[in-house]
Amino acid sequence: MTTPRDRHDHSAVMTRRVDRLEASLTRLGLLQGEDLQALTEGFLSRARPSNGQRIVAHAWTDDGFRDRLLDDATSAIEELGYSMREGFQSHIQLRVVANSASVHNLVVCTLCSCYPVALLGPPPRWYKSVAYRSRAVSEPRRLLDEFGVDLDENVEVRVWDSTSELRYLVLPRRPSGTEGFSSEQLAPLVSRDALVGAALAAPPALC
Amino acid sequence: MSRIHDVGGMHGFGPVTVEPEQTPPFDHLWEMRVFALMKVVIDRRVCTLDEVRHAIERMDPSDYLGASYYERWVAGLEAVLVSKGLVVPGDFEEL
Amino acid sequence: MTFSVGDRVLTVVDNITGHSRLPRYARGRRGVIEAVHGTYSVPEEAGAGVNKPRAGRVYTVTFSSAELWGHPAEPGSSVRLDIWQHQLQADETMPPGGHHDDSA
Repeated sequence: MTTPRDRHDHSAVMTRRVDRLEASLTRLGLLQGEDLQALTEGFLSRARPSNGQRIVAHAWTDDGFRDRLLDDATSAIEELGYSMREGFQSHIQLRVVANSASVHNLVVCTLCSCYPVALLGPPPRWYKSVAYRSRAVSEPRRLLDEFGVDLDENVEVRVWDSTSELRYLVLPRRPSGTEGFSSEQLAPLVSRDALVGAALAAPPALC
Repeated sequence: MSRIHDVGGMHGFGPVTVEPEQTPPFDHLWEMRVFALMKVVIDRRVCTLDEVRHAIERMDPSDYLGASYYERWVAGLEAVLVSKGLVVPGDFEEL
Repeated sequence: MTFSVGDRVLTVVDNITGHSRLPRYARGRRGVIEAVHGTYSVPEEAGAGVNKPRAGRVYTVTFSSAELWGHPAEPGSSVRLDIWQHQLQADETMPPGGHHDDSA
């Protein structure tokens, strides 16, 4: 069992290792005193789950956009000012897969943690866990049950293992009771977990 | 056949604990720094993401499973710099 | 040969120690081409730091849960993976419960 002291020591060890990586890259002329924390914060200000919420809400209110999103998501998201080019690799492609009354999609990367980082920022911890990576492909229905996603027996479950340069995003079903909602009202109903199929979009709160 | 990272279908890793969505993505400053280092290293063509993935995959299996997510990134970046001869002896002496 | 959507394929079985993006659970398995994508650097070469890795076409392939996991497998579920050309071959075997379709 780790004590607070152990965790502090471990963090200190890791800090020194990162210091040395930074020093090596500086010596090689690949870093010129950049503030690494600021670089990450800048990235997080642009790549975040609200981007995915906005894309889904727009697809729910605009059938033409929805069709273009399902056909060529990499291009379609640029209509909203988003791009897949600013992540760790510039040639990453996005594919959006739609949930329906008969199909539920679930996204995983069993080999590491591939996720649409350029669009949404870093993946949740649970998505990167070996528990999720191992179970999503072999027992998705049981997992979805544990996540509180209630699916009829006749709903087909499709698991997408992100093994190439394609990144997957789920288009959840639009919740009932949202007739006439604007996309600004719809966006908050889409959780980050729903964007990979681990949750359903939430119905509007009763108030 | 395959290495320790190839966990699809394995049993025994326990339940999936879904954290609240507002949980910050990083616990420590060093994790934020290595996130940026990874992007810099790939942007500036020191190596490809595939090379770093392969370096992580070649970790000792018990180190891989015992390491936190970003700790694997640190190990992978260290291994790639060493394998490319970009690191002088003593740079990572605590390894 | 380039595969088309709907083609039945069999994935390779190998024992390489290099970088691969074909998980163990999907090797030597029969699936169906679900989508045809562009060409991308072959992971075995890109992972080894080859200067100009060769590119190969990538396909999304669907596998039934029964095919991957045998018994017990969750009904009504499938796994789709993206696989490179060189790890696929045409599956000439008889589909379960059916006959070869000569009307291609």
